[in-house]
Amino acid sequence: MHQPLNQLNVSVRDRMAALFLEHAQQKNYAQTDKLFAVLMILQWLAGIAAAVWISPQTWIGASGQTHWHVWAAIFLGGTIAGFPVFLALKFPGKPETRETIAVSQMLFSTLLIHLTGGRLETHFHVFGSLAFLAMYRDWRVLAMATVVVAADHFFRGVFWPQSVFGVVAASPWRWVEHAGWVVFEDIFLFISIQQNVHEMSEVARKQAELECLNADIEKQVAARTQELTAEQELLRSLMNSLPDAIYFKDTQSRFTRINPALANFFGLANPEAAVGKTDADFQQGAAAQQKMADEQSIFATGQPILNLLEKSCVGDKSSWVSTTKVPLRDAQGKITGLVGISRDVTTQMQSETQQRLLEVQLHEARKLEAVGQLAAGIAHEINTPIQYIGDNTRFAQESVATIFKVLRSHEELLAAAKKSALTPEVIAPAEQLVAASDLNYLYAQVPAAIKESLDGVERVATIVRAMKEFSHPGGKEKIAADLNRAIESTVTVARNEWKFMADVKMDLSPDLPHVSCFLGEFNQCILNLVVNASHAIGDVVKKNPGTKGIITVQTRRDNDHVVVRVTDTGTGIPEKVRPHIFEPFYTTKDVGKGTGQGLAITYGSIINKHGGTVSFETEMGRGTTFILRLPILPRSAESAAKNQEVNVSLSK
Amino acid sequence: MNFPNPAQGVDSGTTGPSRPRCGQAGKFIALTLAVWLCAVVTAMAFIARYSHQPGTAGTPPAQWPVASAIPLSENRPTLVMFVHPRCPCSRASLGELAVLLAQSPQRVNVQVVFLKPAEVDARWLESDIWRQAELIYGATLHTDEAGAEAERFHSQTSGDTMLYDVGGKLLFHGGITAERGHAGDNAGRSTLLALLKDQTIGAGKIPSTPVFGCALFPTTTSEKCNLCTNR
Repeated sequence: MHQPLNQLNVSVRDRMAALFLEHAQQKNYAQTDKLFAVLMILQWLAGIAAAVWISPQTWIGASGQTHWHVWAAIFLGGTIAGFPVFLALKFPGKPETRETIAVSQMLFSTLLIHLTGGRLETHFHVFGSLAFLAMYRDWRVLAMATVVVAADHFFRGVFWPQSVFGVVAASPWRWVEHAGWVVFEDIFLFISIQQNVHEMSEVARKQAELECLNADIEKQVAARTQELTAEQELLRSLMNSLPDAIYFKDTQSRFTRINPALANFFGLANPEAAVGKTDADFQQGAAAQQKMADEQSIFATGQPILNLLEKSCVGDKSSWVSTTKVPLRDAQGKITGLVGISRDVTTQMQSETQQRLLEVQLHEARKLEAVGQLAAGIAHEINTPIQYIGDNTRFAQESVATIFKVLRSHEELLAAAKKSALTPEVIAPAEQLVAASDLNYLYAQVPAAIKESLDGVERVATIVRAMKEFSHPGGKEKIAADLNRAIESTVTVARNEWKFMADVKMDLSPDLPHVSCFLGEFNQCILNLVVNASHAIGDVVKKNPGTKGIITVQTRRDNDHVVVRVTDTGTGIPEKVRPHIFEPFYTTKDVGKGTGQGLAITYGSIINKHGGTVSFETEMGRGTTFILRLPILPRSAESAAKNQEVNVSLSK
Repeated sequence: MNFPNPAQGVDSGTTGPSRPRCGQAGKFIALTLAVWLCAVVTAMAFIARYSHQPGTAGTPPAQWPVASAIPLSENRPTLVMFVHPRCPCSRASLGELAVLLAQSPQRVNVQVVFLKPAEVDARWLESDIWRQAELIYGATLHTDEAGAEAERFHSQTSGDTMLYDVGGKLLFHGGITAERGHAGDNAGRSTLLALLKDQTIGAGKIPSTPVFGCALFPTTTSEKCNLCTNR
């Protein structure tokens, strides 16, 4: 299927036109001009030969002279041929040249016919000439030749009809018949020319399309080469400038290319020195063997090694590196080697160790800070039972002294009775003492005082135990913890924070399983939520003195998670604040009341360290519920990462 | 057809696009072409005119010359043609003679007389024209030593043809080609055919036609052929 010309690409069309005109048609014109130049000379020579052969001489008796035909063949033939030959050599391809050649060719026919005595056979020169002129593939040339033939026949028909028609009396229109036969041949030649021109245009089209395609391909190749050069330069720049060690290895773990950073680490003057060598040539045996084993595993499985922490030792240099090795594959997917990047993380590791230590210290400090903040309340909590324990103890002490006096008087009565000296004088002091001691009061109050004191002691013991549990430093590893008990301890420790504003309702699931967690951090989270709840209720209580809110702490199991909900009946969280509540140091509390760290710490701990989620539901004027979802079993880092999104459910 | 659009500058050679002409060179060519064409046409016209210039007309005797060695037939017309053995124009005359004989309604005593000037030998006669004459069926060839017979018949130009009846009376004389060396219909042949059909036509007037051929004799003997020699 040929694409229509008007749908061709402009460049293809232009190129096709150029090829057709300049390279095909013009070339054909010029070549045909030269052919005719040769033909003209040959015809001229043939005319001379014919004249010499047919009519070499004219005679007067025995005297012969060169025949006029010979001179005509030489000079007239030379004239007829000379000018078109000149044009063909001087102006090849010009329209004037080929049109002159057409006229000349027909004149040659006339001359040759004349030289051959009007032989019928010579008239075929006309038709042969037309066919030869058709090589120009230009209808004008044939038209010009036809006009010459027609004119020749017309004039001859008028003046010498016998010379052209072979009859003495010919019709004045006889020339039309002769010209008609020439036109008859012209028709076929025109058709042939059209076909040839069409074929030439098709060839030009195909060549133009091919050239344009080649040009496009060359352009693409140039662009691709430029890209490759840029990429190579980028790669070279990366390899030379990055401080990380970058290297390529073949499947025998031999270095094929390394960057200057690694060469420097190996102590090489230039990277090329490492080509063909292995790690064993630079590092200690065990480390090198391990690396080769890792790499052979990559070649065998195709699985990359990502962020492998390993120790590299070259000479007296030692460093921790994080190494990633990825297999290199050819076009067929076959592993041909690997590329590795090793980053020196020695400093980073030292920093991380220090950071972890600092985090632990910070955590402890925060805990102590919390304890410190709670200390006044806790002290108050402890002081109250201590006070009444003291009062009761003093009451008991005084009561015991009175009771001891009564007992001593009774001992005296008992001794007088044994001596039978029991006289009214002896009995009267004892009766007065019993009466003064109010023993019935003591019988009732002393046991009560003792009981109350014991309760107070138990209360103090509970607070101390809660303090102890809350302040438990925890460990670096998670432990299976009883969250209900942890919540109770924390709520107890924080009692002074909420007891004046709210009552705490504990709705703890009795069959809650132990949960793997960092207990200290969990306690901190619950404390933060309870304190926040207390503060939120406090804002309400301020507006409604004498009322108290409710803080509800609920635990439930939800499949493989434990859900802890801390609900308050506070003010709720304003809409504009909601997006920011987990941001560090963001707080709406008064100065000195909050640091903006509580929810941020809770968020970071529950999500990042426990792989859980934190969400909240809030309604202005009704209160807020914070929901912690903790996996019962420890979770991987990947699944923890998925929980980076905080689910916030809002209701108005 | 899927030719390039001429408007896009492609010359299909068949659809009539404008074609570039070469400025000054074009003018030079056109001028030179005109001069050349005029020269050629003029020369062609001259040659054509030359071809139609007849030779010197003979004045043959009205009665067969008794002294002639050429036999006069007693039972059929006798046709005598004088031929210069080397005249190229006479090939056409002999060709027309052959056509005439083929078309003749009656047998004719054909005598072809070849001039043999005195200064040449017999080999001079050996030419393709002689051989052509030999091929004419029924024709008798004669060698005219020193042009005696030609003079006898007052013939001046090669191709000159005469027809005598059985009584030796001249019926026709002249050429049987329309122009110099050009075969084809001509008045001479037509007249001869008509006479051979009916010798009474013409009411006693002896028809004659121009003769196209070389001069048989120098101008001292006959008028110089201004066509063959007028150079």
